Amino acid sequence: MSPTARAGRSAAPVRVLTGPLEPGPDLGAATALLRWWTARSTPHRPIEVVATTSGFERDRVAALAPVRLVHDPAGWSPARAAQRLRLEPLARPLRAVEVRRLLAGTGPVLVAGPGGARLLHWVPAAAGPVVAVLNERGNGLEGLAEVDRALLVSRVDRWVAGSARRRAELVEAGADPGVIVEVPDLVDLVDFEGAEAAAPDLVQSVRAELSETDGIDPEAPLVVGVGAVDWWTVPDAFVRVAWELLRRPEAADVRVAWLADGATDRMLWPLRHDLDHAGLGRSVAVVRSDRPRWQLLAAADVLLDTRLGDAPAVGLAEAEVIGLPVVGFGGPAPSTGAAGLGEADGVDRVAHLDVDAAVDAVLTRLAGAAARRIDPGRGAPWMPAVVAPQVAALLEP
Amino acid sequence: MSPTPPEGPEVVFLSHAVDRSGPPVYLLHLLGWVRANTAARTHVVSLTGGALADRFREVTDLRIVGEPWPVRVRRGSRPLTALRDAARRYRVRGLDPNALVHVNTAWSVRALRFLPEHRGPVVAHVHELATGLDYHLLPADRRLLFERSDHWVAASQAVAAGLDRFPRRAAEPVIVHHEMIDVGAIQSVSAARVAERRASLGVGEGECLVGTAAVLNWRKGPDLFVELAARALTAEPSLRFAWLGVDPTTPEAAALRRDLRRAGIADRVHVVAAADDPEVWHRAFDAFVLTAREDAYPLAGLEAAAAGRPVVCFDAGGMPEFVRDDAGRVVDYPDVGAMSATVVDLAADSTMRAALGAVGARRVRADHDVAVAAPRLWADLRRWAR
Repeated sequence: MSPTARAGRSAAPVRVLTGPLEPGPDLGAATALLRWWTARSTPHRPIEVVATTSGFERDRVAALAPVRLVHDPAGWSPARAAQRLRLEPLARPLRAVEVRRLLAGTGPVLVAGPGGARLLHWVPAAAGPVVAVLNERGNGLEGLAEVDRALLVSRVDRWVAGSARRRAELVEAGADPGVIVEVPDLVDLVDFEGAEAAAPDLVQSVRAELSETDGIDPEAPLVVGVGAVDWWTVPDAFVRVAWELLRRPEAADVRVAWLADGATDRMLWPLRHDLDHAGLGRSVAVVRSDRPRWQLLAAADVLLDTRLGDAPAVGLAEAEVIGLPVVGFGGPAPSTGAAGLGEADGVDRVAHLDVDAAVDAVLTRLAGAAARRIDPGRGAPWMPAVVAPQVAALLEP
Repeated sequence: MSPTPPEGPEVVFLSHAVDRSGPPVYLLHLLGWVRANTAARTHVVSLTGGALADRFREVTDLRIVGEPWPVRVRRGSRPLTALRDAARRYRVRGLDPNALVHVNTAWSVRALRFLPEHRGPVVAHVHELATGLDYHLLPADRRLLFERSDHWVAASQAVAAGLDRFPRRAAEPVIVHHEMIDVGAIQSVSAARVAERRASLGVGEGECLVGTAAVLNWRKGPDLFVELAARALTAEPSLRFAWLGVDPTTPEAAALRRDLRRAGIADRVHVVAAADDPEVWHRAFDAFVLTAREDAYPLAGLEAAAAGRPVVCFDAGGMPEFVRDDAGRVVDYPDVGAMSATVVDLAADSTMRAALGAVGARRVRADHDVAVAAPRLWADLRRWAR
């Protein structure tokens, strides 16, 4: 490549391709990378995010980089207008033109998880390098359509695998082992770095805040669930576990809270209604706080992962990084993949929807709980300062 | 000579759909009775279509206004919305503006917007509890319902209690008309069809099949059903379970199958598609469980009772008004463990099942058969029609 062409390419923005802007490890890792990128003091290459559709995390991502949507149901692009008029034969080619225009350019491309793989169909051949991330905690290749998986494997120049397991998955799919770099998942912990010095005060201040806003005794053992409200995947089984837990005599002083993670009142209505119906309206708090999620988790004693769906639960990565025990349904969950940390020492998995076993596991964890602490050393391998430069370097031509 | 115009009041029924969900089925029962026993002129204005459209057309004048457009055109599309609404008003042309309007479900009140000239009385017949009234119904539609309705009918005492939370324009009390079903259709099912249906699931002669019937959504508690089945199967591995009424193409069906698979009970719990003859399935069940977090007064529970099956439900919504302590069992919400233990006990005691089922069948015949319940409601509608 000529120096002129290289210079021209370096000026082009980095396009970050993602699936829907919904909470999850893949978008969380991408957000952490964007935050690190935009916070660097030295001038850096412009970045833009191209997502298949909008989602709950749109504002958070848009605060870091311009966001462009391939499909915007509320928009009035020519393709969308044709679709509204039920003119699908016209809408289809118009949509292809719009997406090609959206993805035109020759700069580097970061595919931030398999959810963005579909967009590669419209990325010009001259664009690159194309770097794709397969997070250990994120979605794997198995959910991709065959045509998208084949394109991803053939088009990507460099891979970031979150673990040896993900590397093996890539090799099995046909990726060149020589272009796979193993880098732990980025975990999106706002303000975590440097928090160790203030750790005891931080936990105390969070508990004081929860006491004031939600009436949670600062000294009570605290069991939490976390996430956006996505019915039939997140909080319904949480209510069942909370109900069974709070009727046990040994849980008399235990408090339970759902960390609403930015959900609106309307989104929370079914959860609050179900809690009231179950007689838990006063004993289970629904916490809405502007604090970073990890700070609220750091003030808890157990995280309940009652998610029933396929996507990885929100909060698991943070819990692992800060050393918060997790109790959840299902088989072994993926860990961040770093040596010494993972499923064995922090996560209890019980049989699917075995509510009694989940309650037993919570009580066992609470009985053996050490004083609440933040162990910043645990988080080091996943911090943006360590991981992000490695990913960014791969995007250089 | 032109034919003599039929006598009797003109009533316009508003429906959200003409599908197999409870309120449209209820309306179809009522209209069938009205057609057979009165000279009333009836019309149904439905926001969307559904599998029962042809059966509605057999008994009434059906106008589907919602299709093919979505219920609401999105923001920024005012001209399209105006065009759509004009088309809908055209479809409801010719209706008497002084006719009685019966709003069958609060959700159906949206269809009232397409009768702008209407000046007659409005009856709100509510089949919804808090999730329908507070969560799904938009504030503007809720205002319309409570500002326009002159008379109120509730599908159960639980629904009536829920309505009392809102200020109503009409001073008269809410009248409870419990749901109705066609008891004869259930009791005429042959033993051979029942045996065939059980055999299709591989359920043997001596095995106990515990069933439920509902569309799949959070309110109906499919996750609670999976937990219930898993608990019961731990205690009594010979049990079989079935969820009737599943659209196998939906993500919800995939989620139910996923949960059954992960719980390791997919071979003992059957996911059964919606059927034209649910009455055969109800006869094929040995007991009926209702895991709904909230349900006004589900027809499926009545159909099961009419088939002589005991009904087990949570103390949620209107079903306990029917079950009481002698047509099945009512357990605290959300005590899935207690519900599971109850199911296991009933499975082991066919005498108890028969006794509870007999009480339920008698109660359905006495209070919920179309022949009994439809004239009661019709008497009120006639009274309210000017």
